[in-house]
Amino acid sequence: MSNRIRIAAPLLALMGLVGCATGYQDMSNPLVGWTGGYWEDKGPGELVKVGFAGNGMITRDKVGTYLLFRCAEIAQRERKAYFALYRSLPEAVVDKRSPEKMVTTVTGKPTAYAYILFFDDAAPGLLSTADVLKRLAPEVTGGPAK
Amino acid sequence: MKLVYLLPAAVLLAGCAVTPVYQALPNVETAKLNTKSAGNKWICVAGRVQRLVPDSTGYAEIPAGKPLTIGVSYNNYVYGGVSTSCNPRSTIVPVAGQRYYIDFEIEAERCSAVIFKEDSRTRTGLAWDLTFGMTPAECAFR
Repeated sequence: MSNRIRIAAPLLALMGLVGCATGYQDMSNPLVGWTGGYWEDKGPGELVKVGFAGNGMITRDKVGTYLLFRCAEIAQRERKAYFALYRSLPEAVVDKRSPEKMVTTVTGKPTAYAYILFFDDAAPGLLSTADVLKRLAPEVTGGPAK
Repeated sequence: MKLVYLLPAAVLLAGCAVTPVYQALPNVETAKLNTKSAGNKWICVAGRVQRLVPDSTGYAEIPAGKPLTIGVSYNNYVYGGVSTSCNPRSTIVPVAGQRYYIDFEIEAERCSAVIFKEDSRTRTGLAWDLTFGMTPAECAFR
């Protein structure tokens, strides 16, 4: 490989990433995480805080879809059939469940987080892990839910 | 050119140096604040900002029995890949011996502090504090 190609190839790849909307990806991924992606923090209590940060190229709707899908993936990982989604910590404390998260902007970029709590059995206001994965998988991963 | 980098660092260091650490006075009833969430925690005592330094368990003592302003300062905190800064604060009336939890909510370019009582009987580990935000906040950190 010539020196020019060695330098140009990563540069072109970088330019390609800069021009793209944030994909469905882990923000801790050192290769693409700097463009945004999903993240999670445990606590307080049994809550898990899940977030998705987008760049300037992604739409708010897409960030909301990615966030909800990631919440369902985490519930699946924890082997929980249902989860409650809360738009903020105060709403989690008073158990005010939501079907989705409103996405707003932080420093002009669409970004959102939610708190989730897991359940084994169905109850009013809970989201079905399998249903969310099935409904959103075509849009998020381009294929059926795993 | 170097000054561009040194000046913010100097300002930051100076800010730390002049902000005293809160020391609970003897014979004063205290509560505890969980400081494990992101950001530096501070309280307003006698009209002055005082930094909270946690013990080895992550809790800091705060004065109990009267309205207290508690704040969190975030500077260049990387929130979901987006660098931002904010300094929200709010008030509670701490009860002696009670443990509290402070965090912040950031949405639509706005940042606000939320403070709860810790309650191990709930799945969130938290309970609403009826004194939260009932009195005006004091002290501006900057």
